[in-house]
Amino acid sequence: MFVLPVGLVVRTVVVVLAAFALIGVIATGTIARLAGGAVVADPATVAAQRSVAERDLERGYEQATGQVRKARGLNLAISAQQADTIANKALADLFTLRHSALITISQSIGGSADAAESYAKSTEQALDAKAAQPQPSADPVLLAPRFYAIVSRFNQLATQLTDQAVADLTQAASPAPTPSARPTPTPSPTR
Amino acid sequence: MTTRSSVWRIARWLVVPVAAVVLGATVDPAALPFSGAEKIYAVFLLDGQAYFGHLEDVPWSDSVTLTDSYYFEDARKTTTELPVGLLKRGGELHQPADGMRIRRDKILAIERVGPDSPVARAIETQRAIDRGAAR
Repeated sequence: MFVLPVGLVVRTVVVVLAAFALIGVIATGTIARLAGGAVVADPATVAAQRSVAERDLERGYEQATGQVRKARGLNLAISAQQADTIANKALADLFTLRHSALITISQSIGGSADAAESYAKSTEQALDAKAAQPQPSADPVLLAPRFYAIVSRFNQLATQLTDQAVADLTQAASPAPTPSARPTPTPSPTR
Repeated sequence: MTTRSSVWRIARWLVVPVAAVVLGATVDPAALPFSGAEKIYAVFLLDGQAYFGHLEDVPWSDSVTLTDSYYFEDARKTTTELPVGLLKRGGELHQPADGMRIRRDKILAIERVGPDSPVARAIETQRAIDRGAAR
């Protein structure tokens, strides 16, 4: 007569159920995520992304300043002195905005306040020196979210400054233009 | 030694390999721990939106969970080199605190993100920035 080995069956069932549970947990990817860790970019990759962000900022800065200069070059209804005041203020604001953006980039990668200031100055000089020269086209790079946020915010504020300056320059002649009375957005490309 | 006991002995040894084959076929090899580099997944939704992050895909659930997630934003108005920008999920007004559950019936496709892809590089750089800022 066949006798069912109950103990063996129970052990087998337990082993199979445990295997099911283990495979189920593994299949969710939870253990892989916990065990795998997260890959972090090396300093060279961060530096490459930073230089791309600088290039994007410079592109926006040149566009904005170019628009202001183009508007200033038009035959305007306001006096030349008023037009110069408005254009120079807009150009100064854009310069400050780019400076702030560069400082934010430096601080976002761990630079101290002093280091960020010197980085911003040296980068401005380098960018201004390169501005007149033709640049080789580089492969497009997807910016890290923090760098993208800085560039995006810079673009928003630069557009506001430029639009306001163009509107002020092309307004009808008035006896007392007050370009400084308009609300100026804070030139800080941080969110 | 009876015939029945011989059959039982053979059957007992067959249970484990058969179960392993059946169960092994259901497991995504990429989900195994300690099996290579970090795995980032792209989840493409039917409405065209794409999310990137760590995927938890429980077969018996009607949703998948994405943690440490990122998504694209239209960047055509910016002066970046690409028409999209990558944003990290978590900075929204409601500041989502944990993973994002996505209903399966809204998913068009799920793909592994290449370790050398622009998305992977941007995410790795963001982590380096986060660590630098935390120091």
